[in-house]
Amino acid sequence: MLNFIAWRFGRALLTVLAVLAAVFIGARLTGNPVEVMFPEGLTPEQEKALTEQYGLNKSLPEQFAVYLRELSRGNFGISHLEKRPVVEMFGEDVGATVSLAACAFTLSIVVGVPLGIVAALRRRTGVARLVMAVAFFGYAIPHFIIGITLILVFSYQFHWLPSTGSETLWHYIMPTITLASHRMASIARYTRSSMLDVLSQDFMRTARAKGLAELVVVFKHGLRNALIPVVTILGLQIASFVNGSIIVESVFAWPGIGRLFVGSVLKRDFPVLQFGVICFTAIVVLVNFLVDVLYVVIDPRIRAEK
Amino acid sequence: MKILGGFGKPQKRGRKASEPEATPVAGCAGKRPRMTFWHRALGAPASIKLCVSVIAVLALAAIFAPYVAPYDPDKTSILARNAPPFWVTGGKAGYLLGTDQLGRDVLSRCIYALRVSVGIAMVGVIFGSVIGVSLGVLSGVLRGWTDRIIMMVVDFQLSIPFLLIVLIGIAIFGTDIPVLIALVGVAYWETYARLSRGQVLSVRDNAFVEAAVAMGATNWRIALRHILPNIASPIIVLLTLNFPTVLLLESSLSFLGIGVQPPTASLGRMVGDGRNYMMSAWWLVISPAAFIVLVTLCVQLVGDWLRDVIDVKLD
Repeated sequence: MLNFIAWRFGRALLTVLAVLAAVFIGARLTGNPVEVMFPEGLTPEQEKALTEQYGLNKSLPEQFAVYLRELSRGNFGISHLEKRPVVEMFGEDVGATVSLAACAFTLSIVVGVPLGIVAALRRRTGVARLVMAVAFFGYAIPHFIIGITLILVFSYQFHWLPSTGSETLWHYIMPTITLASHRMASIARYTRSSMLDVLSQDFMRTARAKGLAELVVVFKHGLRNALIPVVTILGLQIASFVNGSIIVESVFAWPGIGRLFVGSVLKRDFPVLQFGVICFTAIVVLVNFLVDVLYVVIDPRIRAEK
Repeated sequence: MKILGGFGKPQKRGRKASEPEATPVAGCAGKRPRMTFWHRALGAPASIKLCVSVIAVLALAAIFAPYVAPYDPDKTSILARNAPPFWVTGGKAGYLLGTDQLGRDVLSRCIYALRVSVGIAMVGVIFGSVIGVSLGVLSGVLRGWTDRIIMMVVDFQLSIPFLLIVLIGIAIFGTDIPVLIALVGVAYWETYARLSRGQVLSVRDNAFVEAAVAMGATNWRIALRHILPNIASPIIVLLTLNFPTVLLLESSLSFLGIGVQPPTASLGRMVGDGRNYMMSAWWLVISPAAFIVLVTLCVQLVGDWLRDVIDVKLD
């Protein structure tokens, strides 16, 4: 068990490092960021001085080594444009991102799982068809269109909800629904198919034959087994959840790290970009790692296989 | 070739009854029971036929954009600024979906944007699938270290959010259309690689592969003539299902302002630009958004149907 955890953790760390190296080297191969920072142009002397100041004149491996050394000291760099430590910039914004993601995640589970159960239990009825149709639309329509449509209807048409910012609870409603839409739809679909699989199992018939109440059969015997694959899928899809939150933050001008990251892309603010990569990759890798470990802990059958 | 050792010892594996009988003679690979597919296609539900017709109409409109679009998409007209669609009061006849803040016809712009978006998505899907399928087949045929390395890269890509890769790529290489095509295509190569590798592994133990090995066929020939035709249908299904995803990726990027750059119109870009005028001119956002939803929903539905008809297990 410990071996397994150590092996997975090592791989997770390696992933983050590899991504970082790719970004670091790729970014520096394609032009001097100093030129992008001062589009009005610099004299050759100024450019040389700035290039030296940022350590961009050294060889690539050397730069990367310096960067890694600084990282290990907890120094993640200073934004070229804002002249502040990137950790500070991300620190200010990370709260908004996490609270939005937490709300959306909760909403998608609270709505998605029951919908999936209903669709499985009331199979071949109008209710089930309706649920699956809604899930299909929720899955096929992109975040930004759902978000924009919500803004059009509830902010501009009815003036019920604010369209940008994150100050009050009202601000949370539309971004949460938008971000949760895809997850909700896919959780409903996976819960349904996994529930259908479980419903036809022998142990379900046994449970019924024992004379257990239908509710106990469905929830205690059925749902508990049906949710195992759903948990895995949730873990695997954390990457697409991060993608969604980057877009949703831009739609609703949500002051989170996703928006910060998108902004740094076009401005070629490399320290911000690099720290963003570290953050997002670390989140995904960490969640995947936790799901892997949890999965082994939860399901004794997998532990037996190892 | 030594690496091919694995072909010599076939393992008995359960083969699906629906799979076409092995085609032991090279050259017969093309004669698969096509008829059944067309029979099933003709018996498709009306909704699928509707979707296919919508796709066909939109594709024709995109291809023949210069003849279909009522106006030049970039022609501004100060007199006809901010006209709503024709069914709204104040709408101008001739501008079916209204005009934007510069007096450009929204319908014409949508048709040209459709051309750009669908074009990028299509070339991107082909690009990504060629890379993915080649690496997947390579992985499945050669096995050993090649397989391990390719699968390691797949795992690697699976564990980072692809939007991150694309954004980084854009930050590094800029937003030229070829760069965009390559990036949105590459974003999903790993799905094709995993699918085709799995398919190769399940096909390679068949007697016809063994026969080909016995007749001295090279790795190349086995991969191209014997294995590829047999794994083609799930890949076609995946292509169909992947197309809307790639289209949405490009639209999302353009919407964020980091995809297709003006003056070229793409559907996502139009939604993004229209956002600034949403208060007064909702049609600038709704029209391109409707086109995006129409295309993706139709292709997705056809893809789902194809998957059920061809009976492929995609994860």
